[in-house]
Amino acid sequence: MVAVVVTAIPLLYLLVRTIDAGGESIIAALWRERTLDTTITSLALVLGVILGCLLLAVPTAWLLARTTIPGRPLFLVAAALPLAVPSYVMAYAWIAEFPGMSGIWAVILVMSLASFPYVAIPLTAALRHIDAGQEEVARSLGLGPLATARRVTIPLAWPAAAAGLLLAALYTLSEFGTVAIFRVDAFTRVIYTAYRASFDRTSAAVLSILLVILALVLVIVESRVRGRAQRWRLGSGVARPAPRQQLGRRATVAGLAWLIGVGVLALGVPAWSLTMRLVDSRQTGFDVAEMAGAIAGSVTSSAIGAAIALALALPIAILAARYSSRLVRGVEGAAFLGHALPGVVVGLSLVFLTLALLPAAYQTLLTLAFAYAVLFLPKAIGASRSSIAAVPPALESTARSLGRGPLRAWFTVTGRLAWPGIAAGALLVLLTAMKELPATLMLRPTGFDTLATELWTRTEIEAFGSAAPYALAMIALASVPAWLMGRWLAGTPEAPAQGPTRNDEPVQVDQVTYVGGAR
Amino acid sequence: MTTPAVAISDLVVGYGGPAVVRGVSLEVPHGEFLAVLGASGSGKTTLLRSIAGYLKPTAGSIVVDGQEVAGPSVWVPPEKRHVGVVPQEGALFPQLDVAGNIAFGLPRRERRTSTRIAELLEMVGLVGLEKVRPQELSGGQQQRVALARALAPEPKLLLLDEPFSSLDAALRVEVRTEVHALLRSLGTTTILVTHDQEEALSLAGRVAVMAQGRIEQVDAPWRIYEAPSTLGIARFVGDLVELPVSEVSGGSAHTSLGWVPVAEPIPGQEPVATTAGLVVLRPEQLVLVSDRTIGSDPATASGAPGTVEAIRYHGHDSLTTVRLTDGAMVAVRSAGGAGVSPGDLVRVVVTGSARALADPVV
Repeated sequence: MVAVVVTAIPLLYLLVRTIDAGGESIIAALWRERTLDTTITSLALVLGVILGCLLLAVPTAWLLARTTIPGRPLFLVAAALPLAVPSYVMAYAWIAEFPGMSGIWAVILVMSLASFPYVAIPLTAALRHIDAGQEEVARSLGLGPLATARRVTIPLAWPAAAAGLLLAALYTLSEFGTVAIFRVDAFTRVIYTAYRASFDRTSAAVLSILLVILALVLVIVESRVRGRAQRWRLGSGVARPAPRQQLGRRATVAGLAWLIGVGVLALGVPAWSLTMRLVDSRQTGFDVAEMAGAIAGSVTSSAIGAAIALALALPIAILAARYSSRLVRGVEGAAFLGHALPGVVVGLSLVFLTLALLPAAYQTLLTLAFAYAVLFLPKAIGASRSSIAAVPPALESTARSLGRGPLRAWFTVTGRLAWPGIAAGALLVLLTAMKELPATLMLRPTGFDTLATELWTRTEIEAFGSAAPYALAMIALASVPAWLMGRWLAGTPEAPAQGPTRNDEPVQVDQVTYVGGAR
Repeated sequence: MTTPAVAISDLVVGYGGPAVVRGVSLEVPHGEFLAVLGASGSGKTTLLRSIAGYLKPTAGSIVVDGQEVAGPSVWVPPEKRHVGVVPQEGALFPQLDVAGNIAFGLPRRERRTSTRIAELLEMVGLVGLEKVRPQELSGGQQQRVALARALAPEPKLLLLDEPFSSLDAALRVEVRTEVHALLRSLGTTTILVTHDQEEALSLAGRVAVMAQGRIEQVDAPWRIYEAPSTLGIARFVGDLVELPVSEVSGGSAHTSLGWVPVAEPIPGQEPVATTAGLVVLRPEQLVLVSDRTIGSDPATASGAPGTVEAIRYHGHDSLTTVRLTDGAMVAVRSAGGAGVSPGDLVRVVVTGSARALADPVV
């Protein structure tokens, strides 16, 4: 309960603050042409990324799941790898290579490339896991291959893809770095600029609330879709994976060309660009002390943030894993809504809050860490919850009947067994927070730098060469959760009939959500 | 009855590696309920999948109702074969309700009119569940929906792929009895694939026993049980008493149980060499006689003496394992309890005649 209240404080304060500004100025801010423009821009971005993701993910998933195209394991890994590249690092890589890039199409391109794995991976798994029996029955009932796809395969695979799409949409909506790099006036950039200009804070607050509402809609739709996917499980026996289609020579070549093409765009271009910039940076010189300072800054702020997040997350996770009352679900749901909080909004609301109530806390390390905790609480809850739920309650009750008190029983049994998951959750928060950009820009103490802000500053002044080492460091950080996910996914698409998560697309989507931290 | 519902000749099917179905020929007349019985890996499901059109045979042909659907130069896709399938798990479409599932294979026009759906729901005893989602149904109800869905387009042939194996024991008997009665009243030609010998023997008009990709025997259920053509079939179907033969004379063989009459070999079966084979008996052909009631004079007593080793009591019958004096073990089935305890001295008497079969190992 406390945890939720704490999470909600910044948002509530933002609301109060906006209302304080008075109805007229709210309406004025709302009805300005720029508000409409911003909304249209943001929605167009979201729509474009959704279409882009579909375009990239659907053929990729089909090739990987349903055909005998050579090199599937390799391409499967390659399809997950873009998750290891934070989207604004990818944006940086593209603009460093093609300095002319800007505008809405550039953002759509980069965001689609960066987030299509959210769709491709669960879709591949879903296509693999659809019981072959279902499609066969449809054929025996007189449906041709196309009608079977329309009436069986697409309805069954859709929820998995939809959840991934909504996730991509959500990240697009709250993405700051990419949007700013390509100078597109979407919500995040407009809010940030309004805050920077500092005379227009009401407008920034109003826009923030608008953004949160949009994001909330996406989160709610996403959880609905996911809930439905979860309900769609049937049968207890072993489902046969769908058969793979034997591709002819020409189709194989076309398929390989497609997969390689996607790989070049999503991985090849960033890798090439970064390598070239790195070579540049060796010529321009590289300040080791500055880099060390940035790393130290990233680590300290993120570590404190992870600690706070863990402290807030554990009680919720324990309750959610063991009891499923309506209250608990509500609390968990509220924390999940944290997914809908863009970093810009949390940053802005904490700026207001500290300035109004605790000026001493304005732009301190603690406030920054608190912002991280608020932003990444859902990840911490998710990780701890699933690992706690995996411990059979019977173990704990056995410990109780053997004479341990409730707390000792929890710590010696459940806590002891679940701690790797809990620790992984904390680590995830730590790594994610290290890459957070907008809130960090707004809340960091003067002179305090992290890897993300260093990269940002250098991109802003188009010092692409000297930014390369920072970009590389960010990718290294982001690879850790992506690697973890790779291990989760390993084997699942090829051998779906094994393990407890068999045939469970929602789990797949959860894993991707989980690594959503990569953004 | 001039054209059979299904005629399969010299069918060979594989998955790229060694063939799984190796030269199967089979004819099923209209209206018959045929069971294909085999252990897992015998190729029975592969056979069914090739009839359904899910697999392309490498050689041989399949003719459904006079139309060749698979052959050297012919390939009819599953949707054009009019062959209904009830898969193992039902494979209901989770995105559709019961009515939607049943109507799935109907033409668009008929999908809207509910008369056919209502008819089918009544047929399988699920009236009132039209709007229910498959995942809210019990396992037996799911199977019945799957059956109704397969029957809806009035297929020429119905294939059942172990449809009852996912149900628990009590429900299994109930559902399969109902399904059997329904299919008989409709007169639908049906091929049931199963590894459950009790299911095959109790439901089918004829049973085809498959092993290692070949059909070993096609016969009436009682013939499969009483006159198996190979030792493999005899062992697979029901409990078996196997006795090595030490001497053959006339129509009898000398075994641990003494001289046992041996039945004529069934037509087509390879004659068994005199002492190289085994004779087999069903446990119910043996009778247990308590040693006390006969008296202890071995000269007048009939049957082979032995000691009771173990008793498996099933209620309606019991299976008693007896160790004969020469060390051979035999199983004796008695109706109800056997009235003996482990350690008792008993005699085992043979009734009826045994079958001589070649032992493939020897």
